[in-house]
Amino acid sequence: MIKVNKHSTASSTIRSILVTIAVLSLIVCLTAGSTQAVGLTINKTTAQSNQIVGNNIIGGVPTRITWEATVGANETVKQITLVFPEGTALGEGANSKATVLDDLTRLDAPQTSTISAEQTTVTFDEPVASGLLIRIEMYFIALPEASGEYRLTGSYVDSAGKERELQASRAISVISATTVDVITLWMDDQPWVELWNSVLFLKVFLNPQLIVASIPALFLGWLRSLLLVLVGFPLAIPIGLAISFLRMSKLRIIRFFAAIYVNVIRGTPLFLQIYIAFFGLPFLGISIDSYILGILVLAVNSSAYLAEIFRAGIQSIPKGQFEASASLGMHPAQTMFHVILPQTIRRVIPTATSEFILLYKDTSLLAAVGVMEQMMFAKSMVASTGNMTPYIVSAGYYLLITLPLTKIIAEFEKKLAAADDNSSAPDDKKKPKMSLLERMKSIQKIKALRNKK
Amino acid sequence: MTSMSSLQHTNEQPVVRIIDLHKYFGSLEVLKGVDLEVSRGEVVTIMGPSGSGKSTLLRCINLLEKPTSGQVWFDDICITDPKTNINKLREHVGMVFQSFNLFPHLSAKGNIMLALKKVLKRSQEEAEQIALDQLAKVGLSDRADYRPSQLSGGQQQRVAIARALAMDPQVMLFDEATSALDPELVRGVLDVMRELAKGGMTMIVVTHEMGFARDVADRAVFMDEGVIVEQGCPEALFDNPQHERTRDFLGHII
Amino acid sequence: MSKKRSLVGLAICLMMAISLSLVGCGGSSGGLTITPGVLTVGSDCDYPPFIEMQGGQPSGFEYDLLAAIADEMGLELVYLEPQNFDTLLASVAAGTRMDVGVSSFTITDERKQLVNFTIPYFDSNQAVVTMIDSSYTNAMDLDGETVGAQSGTTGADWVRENLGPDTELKEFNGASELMASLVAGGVEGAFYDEPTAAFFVANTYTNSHIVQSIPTGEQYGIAVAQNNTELLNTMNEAMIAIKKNGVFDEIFSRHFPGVSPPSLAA
Repeated sequence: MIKVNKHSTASSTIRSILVTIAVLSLIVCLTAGSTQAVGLTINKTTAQSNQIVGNNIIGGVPTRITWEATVGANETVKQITLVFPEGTALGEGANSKATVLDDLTRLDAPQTSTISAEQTTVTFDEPVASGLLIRIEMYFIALPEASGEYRLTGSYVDSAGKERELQASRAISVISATTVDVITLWMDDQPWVELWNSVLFLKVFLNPQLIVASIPALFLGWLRSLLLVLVGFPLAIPIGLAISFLRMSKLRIIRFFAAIYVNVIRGTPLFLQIYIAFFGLPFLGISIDSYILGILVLAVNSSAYLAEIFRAGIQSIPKGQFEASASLGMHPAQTMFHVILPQTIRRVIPTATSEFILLYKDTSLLAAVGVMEQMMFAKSMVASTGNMTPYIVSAGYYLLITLPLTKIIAEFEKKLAAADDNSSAPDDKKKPKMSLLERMKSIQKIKALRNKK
Repeated sequence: MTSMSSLQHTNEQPVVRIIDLHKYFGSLEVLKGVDLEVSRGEVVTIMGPSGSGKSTLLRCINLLEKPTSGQVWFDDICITDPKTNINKLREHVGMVFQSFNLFPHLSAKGNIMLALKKVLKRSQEEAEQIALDQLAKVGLSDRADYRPSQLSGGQQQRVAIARALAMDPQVMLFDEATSALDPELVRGVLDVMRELAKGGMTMIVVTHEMGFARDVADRAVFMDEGVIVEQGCPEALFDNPQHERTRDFLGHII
Repeated sequence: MSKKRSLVGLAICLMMAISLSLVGCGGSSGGLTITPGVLTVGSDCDYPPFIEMQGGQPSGFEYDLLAAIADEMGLELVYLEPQNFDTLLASVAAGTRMDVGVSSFTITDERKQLVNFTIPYFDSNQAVVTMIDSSYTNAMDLDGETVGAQSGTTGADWVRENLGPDTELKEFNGASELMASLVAGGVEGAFYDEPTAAFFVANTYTNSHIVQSIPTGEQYGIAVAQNNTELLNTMNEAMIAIKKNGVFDEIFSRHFPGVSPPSLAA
């Protein structure tokens, strides 16, 4: 600038160049300002759910934030600073790292990063070239406790050392902690919980925090499993009854097909039947909602077992019952429905209830084909926590149904046995039972007396 | 109960007529050509050692056993004809079993009402009235709501008789109705049967009760090895049997 | 109340004593591996081209890699029967049945809380597979639909984190079940690792295709129990050794021709 006054001819040229430069730099500045998006385009900002139950992000609990941006044309990035919202805290082991990708190829990107409750800064050894994708993962960051929408702001530095503002990221929705979260968070700080969890076995199988979290989380799954069997089993009863009739048909051919039905279903694992139904039927153009299909498979499976239970029950009814009803002029259907079945039901209740328990437990097999039931809920929790405790809690939920039912069966069988003992005359019971031989003798004696007169 | 014309009719023709009845169980011939006629109002007792075929004969009359050959006629219906509606016929033939065969899930009253409602299509009230009347006749009015398991054997058998009678049968079949009972309970059942005979019921009774046969029966039939060996009025048969086998049997029993 | 509490305390102590003794018995007390001289591997064995069962034997890139590592370490390689993917890391952490878990595990800090990982041996991404005749063109089209992923995978995590709350996520035991369900119409889209997705659509489920590859730049590592740092270090050394002598690159190129092998840097 000083030289301008000394050389006037040169100065005009220089001046015009300077003006051009000034104008150009202004344009550059303007374009740079207006096209910050081109400089670094933020693709997404998300956070991983840190709820043990559900899929929300809770404030005050560490989560993983993922921030992703593409380096624009003619731009390079040397350093990125992301500023956390006010009130953010760091969890134990908090850190951040950047991954650089060229399309789908991961590039080596040596870097140093620093993190604090206010911000994280990643500095690349070599500037990241244009067109590349930068993903920064920030681990164990606790977003503010108050619920709300939070954004990351910040800046980046290009290879020339220029610092530029970043666009604000898309918002992350944060909810405040639920009661279960509050309890588990409180437990996190308890010395006895820490002591307990210091034993690997207890930590992985009987984790106190996860027990608390699983109980409400699995409740819906428990209801769904229960519904599967509460609809499936009653459906199996008429099918099973029909099959048991066919099994006792007078026609050999009908008996034959009914036997095939029963033996094929009872002779193959339910697991396999589920697979065939879920992966095979669609190829036949049959598409059924998976929950309903689950119910149907359970019903068909159980019907085969019930058919045998009913058949055994019906065949255990004394022949005299059939004869008595026939001698009264009742036709076979009337005999079946009014005489035989009412008695059969009483007899088969214990075994049928056992079958119910089996079927209830077997609903868990449907998890393998993606039916949302209790096992699936537990599995999903196990998968996301890497801890087995939800399975243990799940076992508790199954026992909630199976234990009382087992007890009821035992009681019922006791009553049934007592009733069978009682079937002889009540006044017989008062005196000691006579042996068969004594009985025969006394009959002969009395007959002899009677006939002698 | 029976009109004049039907009475006259029966006087000419037996109500049950069995002609050359054969029955095989597999290769075992249990009935080897039995002929028997029973007139209306007649009480016939059938006796014989076990395995003689007397129960099978009785069960052939209402087709609980299907005869291998031969004919059974009920009035002018051939019941061994496959075209005959056997359920319809059974309404007119009551049967009482050795093992009572009451329906254990129903009360005494319910046992009687079931077939009334389902077979004879009686209303609930009618059926109940009939049931109570019949229970009164067998002396069990106070046991109407008892389950079979709460009744003694004798009481159960009386309910079974009431159940059969409620259908207003023309013939009653008794298959060793007292054999399963303790001796002290036999009398009550026999009394009921006696009353029934007195009332003019046609009865075919398989029994070992000589006293009953002597007192009540119009005719006694002795069977052995699938044939009728000998028959006649009870006094003659018991006191002066013609056949060796009959003598043997009576000697054993008395 | 105090009586109750002391009872609870007693129960806790008892339980801890029992489980401590259990751990004490089962643990790999001192040795490099559970069975001396043998490297026992757990895998779900259903993730081609990395690992799959062929003729009753595990095979694939990971199998060959482990064979080379075991060879370098002077150990015999034994694969356990196929394991459930979602509980495999817990089994590794327990340290009683298997020395290492190798099932295309993406290294994440969450998983590092349970196990340690070796240096990464493969760079991977996510992919979205749909049926060819469906109208979806990218991952976000599946927002609000029923989608599937393998239970416990980063694919499942990706769906939870990136698709909206109306999306129903079904989780499957293995990649084969996931694909079978896609073909059967049980799910509209399947989210899992890109190399395996590419393998399945090219070889097995040819009526499906990858609608979008999602660059995640995740890396696979071998999982080792946290209390066995000796094994971790020895394995890392063995991996670097086979990288240096060219064995790793040879195996890699055999399974992924045309792809440049990773540097095997931590």
